[in-house]
Amino acid sequence: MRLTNYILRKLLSAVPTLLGLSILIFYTSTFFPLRERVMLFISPHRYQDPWAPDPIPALIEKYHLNDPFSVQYVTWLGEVLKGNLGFSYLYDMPVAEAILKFFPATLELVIFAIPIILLGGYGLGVFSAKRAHKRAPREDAIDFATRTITTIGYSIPSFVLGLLLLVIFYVGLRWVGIERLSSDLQAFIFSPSSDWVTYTGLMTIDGLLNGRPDISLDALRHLVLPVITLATQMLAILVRITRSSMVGELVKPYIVTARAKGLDEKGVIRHAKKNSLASILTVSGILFASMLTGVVVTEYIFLIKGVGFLVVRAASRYDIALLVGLSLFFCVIFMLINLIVDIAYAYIDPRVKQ
Amino acid sequence: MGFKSRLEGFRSELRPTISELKFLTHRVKSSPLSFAGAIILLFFFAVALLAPLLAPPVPGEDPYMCPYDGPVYKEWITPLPSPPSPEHPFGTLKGYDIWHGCIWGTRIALRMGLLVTFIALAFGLAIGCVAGYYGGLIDELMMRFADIFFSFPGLLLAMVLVVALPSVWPVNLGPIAFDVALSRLDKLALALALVGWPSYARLIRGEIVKVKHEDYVEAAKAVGCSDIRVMVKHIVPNSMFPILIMAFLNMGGIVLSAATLSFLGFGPDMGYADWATIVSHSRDYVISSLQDPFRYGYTWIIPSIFIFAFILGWSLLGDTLRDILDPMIRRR
Repeated sequence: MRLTNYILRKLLSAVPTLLGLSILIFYTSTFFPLRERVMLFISPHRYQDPWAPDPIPALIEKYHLNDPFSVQYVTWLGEVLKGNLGFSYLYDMPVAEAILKFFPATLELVIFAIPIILLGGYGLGVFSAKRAHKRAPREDAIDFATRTITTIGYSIPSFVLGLLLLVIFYVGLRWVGIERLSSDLQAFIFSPSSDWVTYTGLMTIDGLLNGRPDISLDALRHLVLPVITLATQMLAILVRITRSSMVGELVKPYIVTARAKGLDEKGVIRHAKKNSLASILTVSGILFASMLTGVVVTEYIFLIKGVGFLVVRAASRYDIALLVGLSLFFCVIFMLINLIVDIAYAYIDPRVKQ
Repeated sequence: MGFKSRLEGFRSELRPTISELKFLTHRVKSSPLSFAGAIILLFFFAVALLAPLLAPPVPGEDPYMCPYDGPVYKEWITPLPSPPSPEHPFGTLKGYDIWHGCIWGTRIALRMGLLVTFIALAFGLAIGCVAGYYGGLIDELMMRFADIFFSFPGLLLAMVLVVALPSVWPVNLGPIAFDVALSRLDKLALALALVGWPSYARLIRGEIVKVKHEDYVEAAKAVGCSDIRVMVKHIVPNSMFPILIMAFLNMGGIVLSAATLSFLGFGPDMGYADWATIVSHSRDYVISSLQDPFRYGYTWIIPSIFIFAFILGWSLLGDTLRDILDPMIRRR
């Protein structure tokens, strides 16, 4: 199978990049004090006994933190491959556990935002391009309006938009709250006596599974503002990319040929759409990177306890182990997304497989 | 040689550049959106230039520090924001004058954009040129290295770098040894530049690979130009200008990243004239003013408008110029 070969090749080529990234990430951690870097492996407090000698020198010795960089890196990589990402002093738990605990909130936010971004952005972009093409040398009013609005949309920083929404709908109108749930429902979920079972960590789904549709509804209401904040910028970017690639396709010779052969407008657009997808996919890496930025800002503003919130906390409170662990986590996620994009690319454009 | 003929020679040498500039300005003027962008940016340049007149700094103090007007013991007592008044046209936040912050923040934003673009371009040019020109193993290694940066979300890497980079860099040049102290803003710029160079390197490398077998490059090599001379005198002026201009058009994006990081708390401390820092600190009052949501609106809406307008100006101008500069679609 050529596609399987292609995927395998892509997977293999991701390995050196991932190694390089891990070297880079681990290297940034060497700027921190030696005593704090023990956290990259283990919590020294677990052994804290007021009468025992300071455990840290022994741990530094054990994990080769005084040795040359290469030795340190190999030791660390070995531990990472064993699943030990270190210990977060902020949350008093292993880093891997903290990431898994916070990830569902981010996943929920992204799951609701992505369809809006993809369908809305692509649809609006194609629509705008069609209008622009129809009135070719002259400016089309709707196309002009879309372009103006999208330019504003991606120029407005997501933190400004988030603050604006927060002030109007939370502080002013009191329609929705911040965080993931209303405080009484949160108290119910986290109270030890409740029979709440966490199945997926996604509140909207867990609410249904626990037979509490009101919780699902509440979670959904709390998602509205964050999703708008997250989606606006990405939607605007996607509209622009789709529009320009569609406009570019619609003047290509194959479209002229299709028209000359008497193909109706619908068919012409269908041809152009397929070809424009390829150029959209090439910039999707940038799109996902900006999505991650959006997630961080959105979670920070609306106090959603997801990995974006976690990374800001870790960085501002100098929780090195958590920061390094999260960086690795984001890298792996990012590479997986890129891999999926590459596969989609090969699927859309068979020439890529060679 | 007479002055006139020299001027004539100079003119004929510049003619393509001038006609290019005329073409550019014509296109910018004929497109209302990019014209609006240019006007917005001119406004910001004017504000940055006139900052000492618009918001005179306290003599003997750092002009980028906003004047403080509040209780003396500012470590213990943080004053509430005060609304706009003749003394403080945009009000104060935590005792610091917002007007001063907005005006001098323009300089900070421009400085940040230019600094990051320059550092990133310098890295990008050096690595892109070497990789594209020599090819082979060097090319492969350098581009793999650049790829590493591509597969990491830029803002996150910048965040990690801002936190991890030490503030004091010892420089040891044999007899001379001194320390370079970086402010948090400098660290932010450095981090963003370290994140930004690979995209320039990739673009520049692609351009070099395209032109390195052109006749004029071969001719320059044949007459004995050194590699560096070929790159600096022949390749860069002939094919890089669109890329360089595009890099500078990206300043809006850089300022956006810097503002986002500042907002998340990785920028300078309150009191420093940075738009996003003011917005970030106003957040403490925004959520707590329950009865009257826009009671402290002036503390964040005004600096937000500055950030938004600045970025909007660059995007409006950039969108059109990018189309013009793209040789594939330029004169359509």
